[in-house]
Amino acid sequence: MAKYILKRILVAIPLLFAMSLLTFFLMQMTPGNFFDSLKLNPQISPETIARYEKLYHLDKPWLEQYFYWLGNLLRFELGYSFFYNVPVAELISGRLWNTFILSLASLLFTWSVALPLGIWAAVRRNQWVDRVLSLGSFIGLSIPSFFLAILLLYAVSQWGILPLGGMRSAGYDDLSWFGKIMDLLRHLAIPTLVISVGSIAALQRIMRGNMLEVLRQQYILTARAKGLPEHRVIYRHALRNAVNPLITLFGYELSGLLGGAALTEIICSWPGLGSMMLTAVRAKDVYLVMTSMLMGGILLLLGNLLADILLACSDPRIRYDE
Amino acid sequence: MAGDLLNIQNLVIAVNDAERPQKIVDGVNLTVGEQKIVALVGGSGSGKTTTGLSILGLLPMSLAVRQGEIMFRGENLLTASARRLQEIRGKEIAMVFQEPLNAFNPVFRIGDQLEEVLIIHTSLAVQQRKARALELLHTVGISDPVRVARSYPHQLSGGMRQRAMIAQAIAAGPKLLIADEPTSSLDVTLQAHIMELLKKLQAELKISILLITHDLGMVKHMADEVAVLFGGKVVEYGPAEAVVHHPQHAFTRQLMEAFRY
Amino acid sequence: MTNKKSLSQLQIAWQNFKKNRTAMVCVFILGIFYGSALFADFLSPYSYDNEDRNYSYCPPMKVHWVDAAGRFTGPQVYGMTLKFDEYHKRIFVEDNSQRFPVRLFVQGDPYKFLGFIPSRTHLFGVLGEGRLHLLGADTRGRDLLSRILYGGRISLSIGLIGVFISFSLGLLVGGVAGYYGGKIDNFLMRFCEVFMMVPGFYLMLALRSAVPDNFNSLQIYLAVVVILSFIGWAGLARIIRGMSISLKEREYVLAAKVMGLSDFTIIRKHILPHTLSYSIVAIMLSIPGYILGEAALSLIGLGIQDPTASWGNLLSEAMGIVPIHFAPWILLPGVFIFLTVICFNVIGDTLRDCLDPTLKTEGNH
Repeated sequence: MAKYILKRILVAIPLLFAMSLLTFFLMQMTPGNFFDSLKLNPQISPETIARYEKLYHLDKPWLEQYFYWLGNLLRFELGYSFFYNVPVAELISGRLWNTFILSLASLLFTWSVALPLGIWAAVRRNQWVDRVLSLGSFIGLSIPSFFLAILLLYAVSQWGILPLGGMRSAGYDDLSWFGKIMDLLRHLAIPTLVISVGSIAALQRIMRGNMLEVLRQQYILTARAKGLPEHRVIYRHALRNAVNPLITLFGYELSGLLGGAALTEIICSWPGLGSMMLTAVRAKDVYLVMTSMLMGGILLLLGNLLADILLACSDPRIRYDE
Repeated sequence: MAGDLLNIQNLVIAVNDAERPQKIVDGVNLTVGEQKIVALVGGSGSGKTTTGLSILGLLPMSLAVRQGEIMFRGENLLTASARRLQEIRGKEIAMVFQEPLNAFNPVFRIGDQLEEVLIIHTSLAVQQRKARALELLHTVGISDPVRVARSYPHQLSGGMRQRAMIAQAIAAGPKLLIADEPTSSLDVTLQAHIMELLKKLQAELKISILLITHDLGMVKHMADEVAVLFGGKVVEYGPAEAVVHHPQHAFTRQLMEAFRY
Repeated sequence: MTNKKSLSQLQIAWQNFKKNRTAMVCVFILGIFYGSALFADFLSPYSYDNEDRNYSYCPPMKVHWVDAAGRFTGPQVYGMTLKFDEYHKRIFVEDNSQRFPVRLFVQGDPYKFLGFIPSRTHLFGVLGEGRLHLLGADTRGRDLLSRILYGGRISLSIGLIGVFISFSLGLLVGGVAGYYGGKIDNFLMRFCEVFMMVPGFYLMLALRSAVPDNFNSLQIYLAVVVILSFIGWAGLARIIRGMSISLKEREYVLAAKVMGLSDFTIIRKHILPHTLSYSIVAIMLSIPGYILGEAALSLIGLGIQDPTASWGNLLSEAMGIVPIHFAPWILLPGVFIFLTVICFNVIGDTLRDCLDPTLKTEGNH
């Protein structure tokens, strides 16, 4: 199985290179010589500009520039953000972490809600529970996330139980560690809910389908014939098989979240990778944009890789066939 | 009648469709005495598997019992509570199915699935359960019970799996074993082995077997009594010798003829 | 025994589709939306940039049919004046002394019907100095109903054009890749994977940043369409390629080859038509993505720019909490987006069920 993972990683690397090339190319298409406008900015010292000009070899053709950029990248020299006036590396890690927290929260929330709902719908197939959930799923899948976000923010503005955006309240540093966690959770609530709705809708349908498929199987009949109580039949025998195909989904969902969260981050003012990307794009902050995109791509790849590994682990039919 | 283990009276099972309640089983009467092997034969669609499933209350949601009684040791299984049925399944009446790969749960090991029966129906401690599981596998003729217990279903051959399934069925010591086409998916040599195994177990464990099959070879070899099912009704019923060699009903005669090549 | 004409798979699917009432309702709704987008300038009482600051955040106005004494007067609206209530909040109050009749086929803002016939006739409007805001007005006093109708043009058309471009690209790349297989297939699929590897939203932003600032609204519109197509084509190409691979093994393709048809002709005439049914489903289900993509871009200010209206940038006004609190009607464009997405999803789902019932996830029991 280690061989399998290694192979997947090897395949991913050239893809990453190709993606970085694409990114760089796009940035080069940004009109105007970026550095000219920087020279006009009194906040950036001439030394910094000279340093970066030398570092990025801006007089050379863009393909060469790309290789220099790539070389710098591999040495973790990620460039300078002209908008924030700090090196990109400093910005990325913080924002990356915030996006990760949001994604993780959404993932946990989605799965802990969708799976039980899917099981419930399957066990009560075609009864009113199932029909209500089916309708709910359809609405959840169709509602635009930004619309939901705006609606929720509006609702909260009327009732005032949750903060209206951002990640931390003003008095954050003065709180106890418990208070800090509660504060984080309160800020997480709306963005997490918005991101999760679509995923819950989809996952619930899939879980339901899988459960129905599994419940038709012969081994479920055998389990019942053995005299197993119904809850054991469902939660031990059926569930274990129904969840299997979902394992790959888990990895893909993680990678999908990282990109999909961006818009919600922006609307809810969550300081993550996505909202930074937006600011960078608006400000034409070249290196920030490129590094963010590369980060996004890497995270996506990691998610897919995780999905493949999980699949190989979970199904004994695959595991034991090598 | 005294000495009867299972007594099915006037069983009617129909499709759960209000518009056209088609009858799958239309007035079946059947008796399985203690320590007897009764064969229930018929073509496909005759309703024999449905009858078997209804005994343990395992009918699919699309079917329902409309009429009749299924008396097991004086208790009507059709009116028993869900809890009572659970107690009976596996412990007093067990069922063995035709063996496609899916009869065992593919993600659990054989040993674990066997032990599950013991967990539910006995109060044996962990070590005792493991030992008993191995013992059971040995009883059904598996020469390497340790390896088989540790295996996953897909790693075993069809014959092994069927033996393991039988081991699972007799684990809690049932009085009645319902065998639904137990050899239909096996090749000919294996069929013979499994037949021998069932006969041996029946004698040793003093159980009754309701053998649901379309294989008349099995019937000739094993059954004490035969019930012939055609179109949802029992068209002939009696001691094996009589039914096989002196069939009364036209259909039975056709069956026996076809088999006599 | 009736004589049934043998029906093609598509015809059978279409008949089944027509029987589904929900789906037909959705088709009807979409028809209304697209129809009103087409005739937006005629249907809306005002042009999209007609503003009157006196009516800033005016709530939806009532059309009165009887006057204060109960006499029938025909449809009319009252003037709205700005007052402060007891909490010093600004509210609009109807002014009975100012009454303006509402009539059909009035003369209003000039426009070009169907793009080239100059006209000033609008379906309905107000005579005199009054203003008619059936769905309220935005911060600059522009009629929301009119802006929603005009906005529909942008939002709905982007969906169609974007899908068309993506799909053509996807058909070309996928069809060729699947048919030729081998190295060509490998290369093309790796190429697609690069595009699919970058998170869509990030790619969208990056592409947008490559667009010069001085584009006018038409150029921005085209740029947005191109950007959206750029993101979506790779996934479609993959699907087409899969179908293409399974089809090229079939006998009629072999027969065509033996007859000496060129590869391109084979792809065009034999393989692509059979992917049609699944392609239609894929298209239906991906149009919402484009509509939402444009809405998302416009929402954050990177898409269609003011004063041109799109449902997305109409919603961007709703991003501030204060406006929503006092003028909840500016959330309406979101409802339209929502309905459009639901309709496409229902139609796509139903089509898929009709074309291949075995794809349903329902178990048999």
